Amino acid sequence: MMRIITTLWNKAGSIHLTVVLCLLLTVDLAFGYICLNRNTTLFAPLNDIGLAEWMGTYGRYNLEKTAWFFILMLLLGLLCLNTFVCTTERVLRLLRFRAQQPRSHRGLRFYFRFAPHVMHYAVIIMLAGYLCSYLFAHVLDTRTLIPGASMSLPGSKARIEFSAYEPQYYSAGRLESFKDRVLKPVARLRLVNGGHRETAVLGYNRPVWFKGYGIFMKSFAPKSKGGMGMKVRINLSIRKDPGVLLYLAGMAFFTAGMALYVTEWIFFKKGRWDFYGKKTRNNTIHGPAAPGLHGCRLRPVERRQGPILYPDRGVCGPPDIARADRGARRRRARAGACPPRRSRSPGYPGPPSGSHARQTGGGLWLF
Amino acid sequence: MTAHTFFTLATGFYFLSLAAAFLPKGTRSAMWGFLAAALFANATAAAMRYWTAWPMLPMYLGPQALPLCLAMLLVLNRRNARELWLRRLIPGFALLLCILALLFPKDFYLPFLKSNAAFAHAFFVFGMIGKGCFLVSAAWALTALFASAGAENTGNARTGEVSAQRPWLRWAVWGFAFWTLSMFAGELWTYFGWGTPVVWDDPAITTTMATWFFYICLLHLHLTGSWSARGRTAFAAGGAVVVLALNFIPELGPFRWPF
Repeated sequence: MMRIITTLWNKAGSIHLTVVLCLLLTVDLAFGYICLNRNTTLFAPLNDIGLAEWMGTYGRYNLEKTAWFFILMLLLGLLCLNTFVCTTERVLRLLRFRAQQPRSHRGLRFYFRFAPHVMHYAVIIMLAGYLCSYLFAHVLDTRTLIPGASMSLPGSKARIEFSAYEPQYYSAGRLESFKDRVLKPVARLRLVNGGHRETAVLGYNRPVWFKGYGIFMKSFAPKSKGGMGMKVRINLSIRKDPGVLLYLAGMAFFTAGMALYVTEWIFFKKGRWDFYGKKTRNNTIHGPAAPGLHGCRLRPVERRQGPILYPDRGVCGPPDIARADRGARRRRARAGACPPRRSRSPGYPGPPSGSHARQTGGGLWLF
Repeated sequence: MTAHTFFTLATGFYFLSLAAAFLPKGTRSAMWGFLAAALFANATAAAMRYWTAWPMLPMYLGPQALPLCLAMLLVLNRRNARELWLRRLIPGFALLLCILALLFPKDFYLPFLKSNAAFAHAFFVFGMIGKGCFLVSAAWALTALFASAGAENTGNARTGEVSAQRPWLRWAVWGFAFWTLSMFAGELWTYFGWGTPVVWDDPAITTTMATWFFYICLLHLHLTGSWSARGRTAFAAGGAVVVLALNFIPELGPFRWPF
């Protein structure tokens, strides 16, 4: 049983699966463009009625135009599973490796090796946020308010009052057709929660959050000075969305991961620093930082390709270089110029058998 | 002079720049002069349109801004861009984009109010830089393929492949980073403007994601070891087709004679 589970785990975390899934996603989404183009009305209700209801109505009865979306969800689900398995495997391996290193070897750069893993987990968090949003968002019907009118939020005594409308008009003369049109619709709201009152400013791209609900301005009137005598009104879209925080957190994590990655590239690139943040001399990698390349001088091709030592991957750089390196290491060992492929640092599990074909997920060695 | 006139001028200078790249050695430096002129004209055209629509985002500026971005990246990176084919391919791409933008304009729409947001501008600018980096990456990949084909003829194919690998990879990574930032800015704009993570009114959402997954695939291909260097380089070169087909052509309008 354990064997089956292990096999499934390994298969689910295969990087080959990642590549295949990404290719399928590209094709599916490109096809999705064709289906979505001129059929946006089919998909617009997704934001209001939620995924489950949409699938049972619009999705189910227009399969020729919505099938790509179902396939997209399936592929994204598989990608999440794949990403989780392979990233977890890498992170565990990194942590095990670190635990077995002496304290003096635990440099700053070690933490930078988590950057790709942070990005991978962030993708899962973001996708989970979207799913949450489409499954559990509580969307109220569009509400129209005129100045002085108010509305209550469901399940509470909280009220929203539209107290004033203070639009800013387009004053620059660059766009003739925009002259005297509203540039920034600004609505002042009074938010009443029992005895507590506060005011808030609502506008386009400027929502208001109140009692867990997001209040968004959907449209407004009049659109210009005079406005053909139209009465002032604003249309509100109000929704309680538990997925927002998740996907915003996912974005923040992904950006942080990317920033870490770029920082590592800028400060540690091209073998100027070893794995533990110690400066290298003459492109020579010293100490236990270099499993399999202990104290050996890098060959020109390796210098071009930069540092190639990653305990979490146990492989020296890009596949071509690594392959070339293995041959070179054997030749150097035969000539006595370099110790033969020694056992790696104590406790370091090394790459799984099969080398590159088994390198699952995790870091990119690009720089 | 209108933005359209400047853009037409830029197209002409891109053509001259491309033509100069085919001149005999020693006279090719004229290419940089023409490219600088094209860059100036193109930047003026884009700036004029941006200034007109400010503080909103000009609609469908992409087809005009992408050649500008490409040329700017080439000029900024001219010290590393010593390969002849690269100097031909990038002005070639820019010229192709300009001609398409001139013949199939869609820039007559008025800007819309919700584009008056910092995230909207970040979405556009990062997206343009991302697309520019992807096209430069594809140009480097094509250069590498030409170089490896040339090296093969001289019996040194491997050197050609491996040495030319790094530039396109680096550009692809930068492109991916900017593209991701653009997507995030777009998502934040969508959330603050419409209250939802995805606005289904614009089908471009799918092509943006498709491009993102394509480049994720490219970056992960290096970990599999199952594709040869040439295969990966060809895949990276295919990025040009992906960017043009999924992100450039959808922004074009119907045919219109430009003069």
